[in-house]
Amino acid sequence: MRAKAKLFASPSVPPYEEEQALMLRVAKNDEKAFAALYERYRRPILSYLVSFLRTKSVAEELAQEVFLRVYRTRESYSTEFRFSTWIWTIARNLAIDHLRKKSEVLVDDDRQEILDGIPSDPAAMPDAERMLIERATKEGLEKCLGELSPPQREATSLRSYSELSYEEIADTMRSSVPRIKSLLFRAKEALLDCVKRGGHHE
Amino acid sequence: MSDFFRTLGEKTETTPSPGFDAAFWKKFEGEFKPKRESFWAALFTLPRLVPVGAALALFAGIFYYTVQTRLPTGETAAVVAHAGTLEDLDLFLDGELVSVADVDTLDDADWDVLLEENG
Repeated sequence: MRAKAKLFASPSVPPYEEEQALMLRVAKNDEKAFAALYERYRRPILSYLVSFLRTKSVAEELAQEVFLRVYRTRESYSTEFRFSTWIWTIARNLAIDHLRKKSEVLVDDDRQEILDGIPSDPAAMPDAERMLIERATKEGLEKCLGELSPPQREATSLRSYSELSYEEIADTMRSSVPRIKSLLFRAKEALLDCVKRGGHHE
Repeated sequence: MSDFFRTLGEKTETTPSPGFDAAFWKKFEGEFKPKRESFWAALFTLPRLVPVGAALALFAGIFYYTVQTRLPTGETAAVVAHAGTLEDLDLFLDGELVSVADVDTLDDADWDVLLEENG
């Protein structure tokens, strides 16, 4: 079971349908199918939680709990939802519960309202920006991520580590697509600015 | 078109700690797998059960012995009530007072003498 299961082999089947099929097998106690989903999601879920919570040990604990919860609630999974949306929602809820227990309130920033002139695809970037990000150190980028507002950081993490669409990120964050695009646009601007400064405050 | 966030994700991806997977599967098996005791664990547990078993056997033995030797309540009361009579009967039958074989041959005069002698 612990061996990496090669169950994502079929190129003709869309990933989300493949994952739904795997999850239906998990619901029937197929541990190989569960191991395959675990292998696929363990790293992005952990990365998301680390960037959200900023503490690796806590993030690891919660990432393990995410997968335990997936298996615990396997029989309640419905193909009405994509598996990816489902697991990211579980991860997000656990992270928010953890922050609530620590009395860290996620404050939504009113300044992040929808702004005029938001590009249709805020994820797109010119080569110069891509080069800038690629050259930045991992530590510098993580420091810059830590400077984002919690909603910006969360939207950025979901966009960076998951393969969710804007619609799915909006569903996961219980928000709207325009608001998610706004958050991502602002986050990108802030990150590029921070990287140009070398991760230092002005 | 490059994806800013995808590039950012690749650059900031977190690698799980070395024991991450092992810790997870241990939790998984602890919660979802039925516990099966290994031969060695059973072997280790056995010596700890021996004193308990011995104590139980001793208690059972004492209890069985007590039950077997105890008379029913009614019979116990009868024995207590007639204890003196029974003791006299034993003496009488043992021939310390008189031989049962001789009783049949005694006539009235003999009985008078005998009863006079024994008060």
